[in-house]
Amino acid sequence: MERPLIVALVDDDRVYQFTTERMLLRLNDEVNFRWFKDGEEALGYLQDHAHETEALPDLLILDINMPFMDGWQFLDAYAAKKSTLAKHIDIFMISSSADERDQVRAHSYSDVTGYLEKPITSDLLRGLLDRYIGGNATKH
Amino acid sequence: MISAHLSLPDTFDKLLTDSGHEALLLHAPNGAIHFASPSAKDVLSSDSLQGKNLIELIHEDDAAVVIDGFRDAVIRGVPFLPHTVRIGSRHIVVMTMPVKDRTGGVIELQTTLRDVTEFVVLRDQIQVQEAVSVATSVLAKVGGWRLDVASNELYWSDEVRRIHEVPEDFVPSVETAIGFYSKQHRHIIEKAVTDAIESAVAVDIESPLITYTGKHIWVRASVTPEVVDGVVVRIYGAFQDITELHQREEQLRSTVAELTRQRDQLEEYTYVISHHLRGPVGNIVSLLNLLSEDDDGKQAPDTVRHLRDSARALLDTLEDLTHAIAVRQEEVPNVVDLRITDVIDSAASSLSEMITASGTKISVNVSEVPTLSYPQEYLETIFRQLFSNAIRFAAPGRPPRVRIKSMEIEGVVAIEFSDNGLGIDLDKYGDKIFRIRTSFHRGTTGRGVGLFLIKTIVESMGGTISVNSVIDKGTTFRIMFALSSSKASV
Repeated sequence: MERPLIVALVDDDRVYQFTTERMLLRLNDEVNFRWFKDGEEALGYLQDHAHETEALPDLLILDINMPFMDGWQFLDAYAAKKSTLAKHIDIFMISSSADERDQVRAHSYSDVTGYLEKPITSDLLRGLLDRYIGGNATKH
Repeated sequence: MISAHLSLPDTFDKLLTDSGHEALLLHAPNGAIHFASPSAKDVLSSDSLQGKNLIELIHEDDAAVVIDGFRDAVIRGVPFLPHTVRIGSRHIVVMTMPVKDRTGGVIELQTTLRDVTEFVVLRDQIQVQEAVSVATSVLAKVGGWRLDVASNELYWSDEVRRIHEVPEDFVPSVETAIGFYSKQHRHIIEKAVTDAIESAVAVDIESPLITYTGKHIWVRASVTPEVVDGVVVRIYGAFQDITELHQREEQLRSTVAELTRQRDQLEEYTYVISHHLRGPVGNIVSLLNLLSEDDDGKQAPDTVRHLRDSARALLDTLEDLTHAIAVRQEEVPNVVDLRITDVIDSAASSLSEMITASGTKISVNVSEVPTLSYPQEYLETIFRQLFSNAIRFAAPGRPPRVRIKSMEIEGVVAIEFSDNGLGIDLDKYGDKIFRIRTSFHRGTTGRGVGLFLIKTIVESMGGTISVNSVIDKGTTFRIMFALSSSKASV
C-alpha cells in the first residue's frame, strides 16, 4: 500500500469515537484516523488542507445529530466547498436515528455515498475498509 | 307576532270580495229551505236545494252551534253572527238574520253563505309556516332586526329579544343595542351601521356581547341596507346567538393544539430514544466487544472508563425521560396562590453553592404581578432550571446577571427571565432548544433536559414558553402562564 487510508469521523460522541478508532486500528493498524467533534471543526480542517492530498480524508463518516453544525448543515457547506478540494471524499452518513426520513434524506444528497446505522460494528468497518484497500487488507 | 310582518297574498282580497262565492237562503227556523239564490248551488255544491234542510247539510260536529243560533234568532230576534262551518268538503261562513212580520214576530230566517275554503286552507298554511319559522328561529337562535333610518326606530324580533334577555317592556334603540356589545367591539358595530346607512355597505359581524342579565355570549349579526331611489331607507339583518358554535370552535382549536403538542412530544421521545438511548447502549456493546478482544489488556482502563461514562449517560437520560413523562402523567399538583419572590428565593437557595461560586447577581421586579396561582413544585422547578442554565451558560469573564420580571400581557400573567450569558443562535437552533438533551454550546456539558422539562411543565398547565436571544449578550425566556384563549372564553 502506497499511503495509509485516511478515515475521518465527524461525531460529538467521544465514546463512539474511541470505539471506532480502536476497532479500525485493530482491523488495520496503518489506517490514519482523524476525529472531529462537529461539522464546523471538520469543515475548517478540510479548508485548511484543501490542497494537501495526503491530509484530506478518503472517507468521512458523518453523524447527523451534532451540536453547532449538524450533518445536514455540514453537507450543505461541503457542497459549496468541494470544488476547491484536491481530493474526492466519500461521505457516509451515520445515525442512531430510527427515523426512516433521515435515511431518505441522506440519499437525496449526491455527495453521500452511503448510510450507516449506529452502533457501528467491526464487520461493518471491515466491509468499508475492504472496499477501499482491497481484500485481505484487514486482520481477521 | 311574526304574522304582523307578513304581507298577505293578493288572493285574500279577491276571495273576500268575490260575490261568486256568496249565496242567500230563506229557510224555516228548523232549517227547511224555502228559497235559494242561484249562486247557492255553487256554494253548497248541490243542484236542488228546494225542500232540503240546511242543518242536514252541515257537518254534524258544527250543526249544534247553528241550531242554537237559529233558535236564538227565532226566540230573541237576534242575528246569528258569522260562524264558519263545514259543508261537504268546503268551509262556509254562515250568518243568519231573522225575517220579521209587521208585529215583530219572526216568520223565517235569512242566511248568507260565503265559501271561504281557500281562505281557511291558506290560513292553516300560514299558521304552519309561522309555527315552523318560530320553531326554527328558536332552535337556530336566530332572529331579525330592522332599523328605520328616517325615524331611527329599531325593531327586534322575539328571538333577538330572547338572545339579549331583555324584559318584555324593553324598547331597544340604536344606542342601547350597541351598548350590549363588549367595549372593544362597539366601534366595529357603530362603523357597520354608519357604513350601511351612508354607503349602503352590507356586512357580517361576529362579536362578543353581554346580555341584559350580564351573560357573556357570542353573536353573529348581518347588516343589509335597503335602498329606495338611491337612498338607504332601512337597514336590517339576521341576528344569531353563536355562543355554542364559538365554544365548539374553541374546543376544537384547543383539541387540535393539544394533539399537535402530543404528537410533537411523541416525536421528541422517539428522538430521545433513538439518539440518547440507542447511542449509549450501542457504545456499551462496542466497548464490551473491545474489552473481550483486548488481548494484551493495555486499553482496558480507558475502555472501562468509557463504559462507566456511557452507563452514567444512559442512566441520566432515563432519569430525565422519567421526570418529563411523570410531569405529563401525574396528576397536577395543587394549585396554590404563590408569592413569586418566595418561590424565587427557595429555588435560589437550593442552588446557593452554584450561585455564590459564580458570583451570580439576581434582580427581581414583581411589582406589577406579585402573586401567581400555580403548583409550587412546578414554579420552583422552572426557576431552578432557568437559574442553572443561566449560570452554566454564562459568558466567560462576565459574572452571571439574572433579571426576573412579572407582568400581565393581554390578561395573562407572564414572567420574563433574562440572563447576560453566551446567548443562543436561534437562527441555527430555533425550537430545537426545547428538545431534550440538545446541547448548543460548544464545550459545555449541558444535559439539555432543563428547557425540555420547563416546556413540558408550562404546556401541561396550558401555558407557553418563548425565547429571545442575542449571541454573547444574553437570553430572555418568556413564560405565559395560560393560553390567552382559555382565559377569554366564557
